[in-house]
Amino acid sequence: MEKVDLKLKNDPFDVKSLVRPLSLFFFFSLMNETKSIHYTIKTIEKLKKLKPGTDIGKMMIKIASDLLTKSNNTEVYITKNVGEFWILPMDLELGPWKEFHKKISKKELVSLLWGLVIKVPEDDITDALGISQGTHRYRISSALKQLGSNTFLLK
Amino acid sequence: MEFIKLKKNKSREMSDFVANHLLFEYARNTLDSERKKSVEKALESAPELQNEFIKLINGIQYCEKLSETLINDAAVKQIELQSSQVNFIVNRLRWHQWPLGFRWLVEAGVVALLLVIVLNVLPLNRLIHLNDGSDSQTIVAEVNRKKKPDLGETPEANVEKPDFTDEEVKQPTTVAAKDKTQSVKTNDPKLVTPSVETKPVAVKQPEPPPVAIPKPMTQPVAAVSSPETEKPAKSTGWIYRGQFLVTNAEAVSPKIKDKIKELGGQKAGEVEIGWLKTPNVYYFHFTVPEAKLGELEALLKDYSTGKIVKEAHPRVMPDGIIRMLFTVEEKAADAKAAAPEDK
Repeated sequence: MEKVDLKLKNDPFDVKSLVRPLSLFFFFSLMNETKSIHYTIKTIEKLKKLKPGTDIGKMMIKIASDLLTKSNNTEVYITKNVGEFWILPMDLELGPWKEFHKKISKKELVSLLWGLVIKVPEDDITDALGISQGTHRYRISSALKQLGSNTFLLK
Repeated sequence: MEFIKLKKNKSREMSDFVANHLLFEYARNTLDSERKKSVEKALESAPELQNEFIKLINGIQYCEKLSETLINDAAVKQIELQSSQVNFIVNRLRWHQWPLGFRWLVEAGVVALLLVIVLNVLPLNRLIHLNDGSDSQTIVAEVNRKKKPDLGETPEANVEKPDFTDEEVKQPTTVAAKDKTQSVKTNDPKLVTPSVETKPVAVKQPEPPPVAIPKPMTQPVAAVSSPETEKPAKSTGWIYRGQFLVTNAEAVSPKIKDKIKELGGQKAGEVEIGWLKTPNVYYFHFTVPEAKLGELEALLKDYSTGKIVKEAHPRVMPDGIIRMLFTVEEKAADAKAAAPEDK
């Protein structure tokens, strides 16, 4: 999977390049399709209001992560209409991910999603989240072990 | 620039704790060669560390699968469309470019419109009188009417405005009180003629010499009702009165009340329909459509043997609506009360 090109230009505003990372981020973090679309649109609207020349990539991470932190995490997980908007890999089981959601903190989830799922460059994530590289890696490592233990148990 | 050659110490083995924290970077292959070797050594010697490493690899593989997730073009279009629609409307309006005066005008218009909607939709009258209760207004009105004849300065006022004090079941004391006031008036030679002419009920009263009427109210009402019905010229309104003795009034009165409400009855006085006036006496004062009178009479006959009597009354009700006033009393209690008197 190619890394996301974060050097997005403000003028003209490229919405398409933002839709995939944002919708994936919100879908895997909230596990709710309606909410993920809603938050994606909300983030894009906020990004559109930024002054020209602002680093959209970093602001995208910052705004999306803030929205996730403020959102309620007590939603019921849904996957019934996944096929309509998201095309998941054939051999992907969402069970371990759901289990992982129950045990993981939002901070670790954010680092893991931006770093390993959406694959945004590390520097942009650390700048946007205002954390050190070590903290970011520690969070990912911790999250991966938790996620791995879930998949390990299934096997 | 000269480099100082440092003495090589004995190589120290990496602890499991440190190796555990370097596993992620080892998996990503971002460690330098020395640390890589140390982590490998630690991995060989510690099975727990191997388990952790396997978990880490599993997690990375799972994330790789997640990252392969694609988004349907329809979803992208929907998001683009929705975000652009909001933006489109905002941009199209160009609110911030409008002249200041015009913006204020629009804002004032919107606020006024909202106020009108809110004032029309909200039941403000109900909200205002929610805590007041309906009692206060009617009491004030009655007090004023009673005070006017006491002044005695303008007898014409008495002529034009008859008393509406018969909202309650008629009692001998009130009648006596009325007679007293009239007897006082009759003593004054100036006031004799107007009082006799005006009040239709008072026409009968000067004829018998004694003033007091000691009998209970139900019988005289029935007796008076027929002559009054013959003189509809002055008293244009009507009221239906009655007194019903029932067994188990506590159970019966709610049923009567429910039926009255079912028939469209609404309270006419200050108290609710079926108000517990005294123990075992329930007071019913209400308005009901005239068409429902038959049904109501039938219902009352089921429980009691009392009668409804139609009387003339100065208060005129709207067409098709009648006013009723009766009490439902406990027969047993009445009997009990009567028993000691008999003795």
